[in-house]
Amino acid sequence: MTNLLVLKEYLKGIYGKYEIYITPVEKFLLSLITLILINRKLGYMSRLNSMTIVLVAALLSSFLPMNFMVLLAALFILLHLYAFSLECAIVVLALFLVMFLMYFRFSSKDTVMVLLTPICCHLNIPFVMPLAAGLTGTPASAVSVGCGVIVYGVLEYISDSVSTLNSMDAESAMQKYRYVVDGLMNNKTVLVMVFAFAITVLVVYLIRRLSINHAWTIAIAVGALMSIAALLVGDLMLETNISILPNIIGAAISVAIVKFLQFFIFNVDYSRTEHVQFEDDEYYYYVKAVPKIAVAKPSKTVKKITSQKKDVTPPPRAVSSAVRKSDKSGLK
Amino acid sequence: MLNEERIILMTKMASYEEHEGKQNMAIGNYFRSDYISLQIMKTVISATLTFAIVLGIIGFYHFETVMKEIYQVDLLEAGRRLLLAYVIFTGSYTFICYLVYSYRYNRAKKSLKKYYSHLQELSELYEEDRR
Repeated sequence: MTNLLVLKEYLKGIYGKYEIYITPVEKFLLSLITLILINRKLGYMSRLNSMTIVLVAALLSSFLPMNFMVLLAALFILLHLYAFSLECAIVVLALFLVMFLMYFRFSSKDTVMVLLTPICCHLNIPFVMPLAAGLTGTPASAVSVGCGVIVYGVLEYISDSVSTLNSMDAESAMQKYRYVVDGLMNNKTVLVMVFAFAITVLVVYLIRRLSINHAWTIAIAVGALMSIAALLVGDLMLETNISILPNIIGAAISVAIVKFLQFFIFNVDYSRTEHVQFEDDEYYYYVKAVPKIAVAKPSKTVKKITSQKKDVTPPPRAVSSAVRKSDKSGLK
Repeated sequence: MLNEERIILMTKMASYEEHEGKQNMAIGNYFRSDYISLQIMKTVISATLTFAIVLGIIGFYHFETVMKEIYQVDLLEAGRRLLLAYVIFTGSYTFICYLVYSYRYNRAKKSLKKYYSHLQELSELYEEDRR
């Protein structure tokens, strides 16, 4: 445990020192993973599948605000869908617009959850997001995670229905359109997932704010159980045939991941190194404020061992025992 | 002479101005009523657009039925129902946004109050130096 705490302090130090480089790299990797996954899942527009375009887009998002990455991902999805079928593109565009106008317009910090939730769902660890959102966010994060699940559900539905949509005539645009809207409105699995995730976010948020020992750990455990219970209830009510066993395994893995994140990320104040500039009447100040590290790292000491000389004094143990003996004799 | 205490205070203030202070200052420039009414205006526009999009999606979905029954339906009654749905939707959404923006305004003002007290402290430090 001590080693882990020391490692955490090291990480904190490294992040504080190199934050200016680490953040763009993180953004670049997240953007790259997102775009590659979109291309793999949809990939109907061959031009966008080119690695050069993906890399350029990821590089752009590495130094632009986080919301640009979300915009870019939405654009990639829409272009792929447009290349596949105009009807799909229209429905998904309407969905994105409604999400933006209703929620993300005034909660722009949460947009990254819409990006991360489908990624976690794709990796079969969907519960990471509601647990993480409950630990770090507000009850409103339930809406963000819900939007992420809806996006994932729609994309999954479209990619699963490619053959059906292709078999429809090009002239029956209305039929295609109805098929996609039906998939969006009557997708019971997505409905159950949204319900389960929203409950999980709220439960985790409420428990982690309690003033009890190990509130965060209890919140994670109860949240995971709650999500499975909510999935079961939703499954029974709506008869969605969600396979529970993979979800239990996914929840267990999610708990482990969130516990790891809690230790290394959520509970650590990665106070950034600040570079600020200001001036007064006399000076221009260019200040670099480096956060102090709370726990001292173990310092390495180099012990020099030299070869013993012949006329050495007796070893300390012998000396002390000799002294003790003389003391005892003195007492007598 | 460089005053260490003053530089620490100025650094903290500059850091605040660069991060959360940026948004708070933008909010703090408005009177409460001005800020909330501007946000509500934006909210009503958003709600109207959303309503139009959803209506468009549903309307297009039932396009054939709509075209068949357009002459048999009481258009005035349908319009009234649509208007009622719009008012309920926009009203409830605007009310939620009103609560959110009121809370945000109060939070920003509280945060700015702290910033202004730091500013006062800073000016006192300069006064001390001049003496």
